[in-house]
Amino acid sequence: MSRLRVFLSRLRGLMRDRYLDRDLQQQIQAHLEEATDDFMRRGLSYEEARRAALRSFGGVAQAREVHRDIRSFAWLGDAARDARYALRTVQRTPGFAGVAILTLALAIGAATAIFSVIDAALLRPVPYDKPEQIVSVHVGKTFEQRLGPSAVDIDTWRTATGVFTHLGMGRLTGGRPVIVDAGAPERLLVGTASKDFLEVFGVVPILGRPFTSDDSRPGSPLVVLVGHRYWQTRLTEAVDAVGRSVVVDGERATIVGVLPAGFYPDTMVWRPHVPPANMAAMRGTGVSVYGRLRPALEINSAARDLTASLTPAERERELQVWLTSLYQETTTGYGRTVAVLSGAVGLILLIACVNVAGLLLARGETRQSELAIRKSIGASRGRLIRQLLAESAVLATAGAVAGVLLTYLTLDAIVALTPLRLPANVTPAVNLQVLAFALTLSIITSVAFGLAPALKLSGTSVTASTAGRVRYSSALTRRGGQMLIVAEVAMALVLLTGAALMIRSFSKVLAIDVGFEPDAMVTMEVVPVDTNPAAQQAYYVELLRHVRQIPGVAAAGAVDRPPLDGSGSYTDAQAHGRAISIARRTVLPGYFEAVGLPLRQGRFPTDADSHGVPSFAVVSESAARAIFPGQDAVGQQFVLRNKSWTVVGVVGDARNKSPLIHDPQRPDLYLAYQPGERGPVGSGLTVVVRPVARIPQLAAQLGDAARAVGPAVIVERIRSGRDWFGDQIATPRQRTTLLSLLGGLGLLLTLVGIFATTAYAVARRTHEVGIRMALGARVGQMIGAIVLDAAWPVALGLAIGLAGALAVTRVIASFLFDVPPTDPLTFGAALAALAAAALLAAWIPARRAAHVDPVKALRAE
Amino acid sequence: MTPDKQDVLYGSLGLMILKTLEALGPLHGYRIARRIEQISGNQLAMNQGTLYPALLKLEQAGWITSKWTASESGRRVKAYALTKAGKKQVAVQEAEWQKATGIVGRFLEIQEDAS
Repeated sequence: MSRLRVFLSRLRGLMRDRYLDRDLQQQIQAHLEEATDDFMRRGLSYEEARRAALRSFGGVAQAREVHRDIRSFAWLGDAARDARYALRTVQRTPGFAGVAILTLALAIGAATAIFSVIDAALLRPVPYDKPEQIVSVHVGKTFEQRLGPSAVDIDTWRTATGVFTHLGMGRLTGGRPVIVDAGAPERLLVGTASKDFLEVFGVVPILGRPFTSDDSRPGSPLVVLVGHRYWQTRLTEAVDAVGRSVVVDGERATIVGVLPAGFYPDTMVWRPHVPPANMAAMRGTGVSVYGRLRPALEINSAARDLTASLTPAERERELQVWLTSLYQETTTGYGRTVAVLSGAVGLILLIACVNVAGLLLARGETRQSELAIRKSIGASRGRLIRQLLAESAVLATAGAVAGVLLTYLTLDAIVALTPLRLPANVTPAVNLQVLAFALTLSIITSVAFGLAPALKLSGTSVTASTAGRVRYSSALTRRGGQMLIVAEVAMALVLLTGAALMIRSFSKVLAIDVGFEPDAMVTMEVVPVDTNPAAQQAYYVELLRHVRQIPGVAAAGAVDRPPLDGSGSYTDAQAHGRAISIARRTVLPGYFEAVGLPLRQGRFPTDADSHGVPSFAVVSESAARAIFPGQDAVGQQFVLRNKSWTVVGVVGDARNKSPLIHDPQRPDLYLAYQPGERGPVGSGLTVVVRPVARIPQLAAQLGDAARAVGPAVIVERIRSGRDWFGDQIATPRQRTTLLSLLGGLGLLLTLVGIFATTAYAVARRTHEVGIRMALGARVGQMIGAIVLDAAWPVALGLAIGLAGALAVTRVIASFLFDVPPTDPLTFGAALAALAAAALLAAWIPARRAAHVDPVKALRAE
Repeated sequence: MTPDKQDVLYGSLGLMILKTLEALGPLHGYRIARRIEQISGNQLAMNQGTLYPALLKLEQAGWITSKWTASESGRRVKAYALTKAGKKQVAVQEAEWQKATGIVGRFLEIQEDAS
């Protein structure tokens, strides 16, 4: 009670500090006058009485000081004074402050930016209500062998167990795009959802109704829910969207609802999930099953309950139900990237702290007399430490503000560089958590870089520096600076080695021989809306004829799946009694010339082969060896999918998958595109064009040609082979760019640190340099001596850093392509580069110092 | 941030001020100081300046209030007066002081016996 009163009254005192001080002064004034009157009444003269009054009052200044301490929070006043003083000190040395703040801004900015990405990836990846209750469900003997449950499983669990409040199955992003026509046909991602599937995520239509079990009943009229973006962009946010009809994959459907924004924004349309009747009991059909656990039900006990509901026969086979929380499912695979990025920015932060600590320490040399004087007039050591830390806090705060600004400005670019596949409905942003993080960082860093110098400098003895100005940098500070160089160089080497490994790995990715010439081609995906197979074939043949007439086009063909794109259709071919897995593609003549696959034997198929029912086949070298060992493949006939094919040519091997996927290279088989050979719904062919040289406007001409031929067609993604190839290697490029940027930043900060430390050390030694020069030392010797002072800590740092790098680079082993994590060449290069740069950073100030006029140097004191 | 009990509760100055105000009613700083000196028979070597921090502490604790008035000599002075809480506090502190001195006194008696 009384404590609270005192606290509140002191809080008031804080606001009225000036008023209370004046109030006290007036009281003292009155007190002294009254006392003087009293003494005068006792017969003293005015002067004597005045003196007596002052004597009996004691120290006016002390009384005011004590009063000031009591009336409010003394430490607060001190802190404010420290901050003001620190601001002035910082302003007095703009060069030092600039370097320190910039260093901190870069480091805190980098850390904050990476944190905001990690925040999005790890801390809020599942933006649903009570996300901990959402689980994905699988059945299997082990977790690795798990399969998606069947429709029958779901019915059983819904009725026989009380584990879920909602349980449903569906495809969140659909598979291949589907043609949707609400006036203008286009290919879109179409998801599927059973009854209760969207409810698992707490998603409720903003218009209309969710799916019911009737919607999934075979034979019922097709209804769809549309995604928010579709509603916005295609239906102009019409409030009467419900009830309108769209054509989905050739079937007329009625819109029954509109989903809220943010839920799988790329999935434009949702149709009811209808498991084919013959697959109702089949597991592992590629459909996702998600459930919302009953509140307070623990995930492991839920899994046990579900396992208990399996049939005895299944339990006999040791089948289990596996539940994975949505959070875990979403963030699996982030771990390593997040760890590497955090590690890298952590090192950068440390380097920055060490850097600024070095700067503070070096500058502290020049402040020793100031500190000694403060101490001699009564400042306690604690008081000095607080004051020095206040300066650190000012620097860190300025650094953090600048750093957050930097983050804000560069976040989009950094997100684009981040090799994390974030959930589509989560975007990194500078939010409250991120700001809190930056604030925490600034506090931690200010202590981290400020404490050591503060402890050291506050220990300055009064006699040491008042007896005379310190002539030479004290050995202690010099050693302190050198230790900081050791730390910086060691950490920089770790960062640099990581970055160098990534760069080397990426150069290998770029240099990889994919077997064809992606740079020389242009691709265009074309889907005729008319799904009649004969019409489709006629369309493509006619389109290619048109495209080849575009001036400058050397070759044009078409393929169902371009190489490298990862997806693949595989055939088990029976070759002389054994089955081999072959990557199968469907092509139209002209494809091989267009992608630049070399012909090894036989001939390329031509348009003449496309007449009637085309039956040509082309095999890759490895396929020829595997299927027709020891024979000439050309002219061979084989039967596949109940059709007969004739091999007309053998071409070189091409990479089927992205160079980063460590997948054994498979033999390729190219079959003629046949009428009736219709791929999955909505999948068209990719037209591949090879121009003689770069043709301006080629993209526009290709699009025009595709639309000019035939009736309705969807044209997508006309892009150069270079762009297309770039997409394939986006992840390693992002990793490499980001880690290189971080490595470069670490290097830059380290060099600034070495430069500054050496420059300060040299500045303190001007006098010594002058004497030695006057005594006949040569410039070269002087430079050598100074650089040597920096050289041994650099060498020690390199040694420590090398050990650290060897231990740490293993973490990024899985990011590396064809480069071992301890690649000696890369290590050597990083080592040499850092050593050279570090010595250069020491040499520049050394040279400047050694070139001073000895006379001036001696007078410098 | 809490009242320094050694000073205010057990320290004598706070109690002396409260006692003075209880006996004489509202007084300004110099009068309080003089009164304390007189009562102590001028044996208390007190820096009068230390009075003001003590007054502030008592005021912060809510035991006294102050307002600007005119002194007998017509000077503008700040007069301090006991509050209700302050009156209770006088009784509390007086009792505590008695108790404390009583205990110390008994120690002194024991020592005399032992010698």
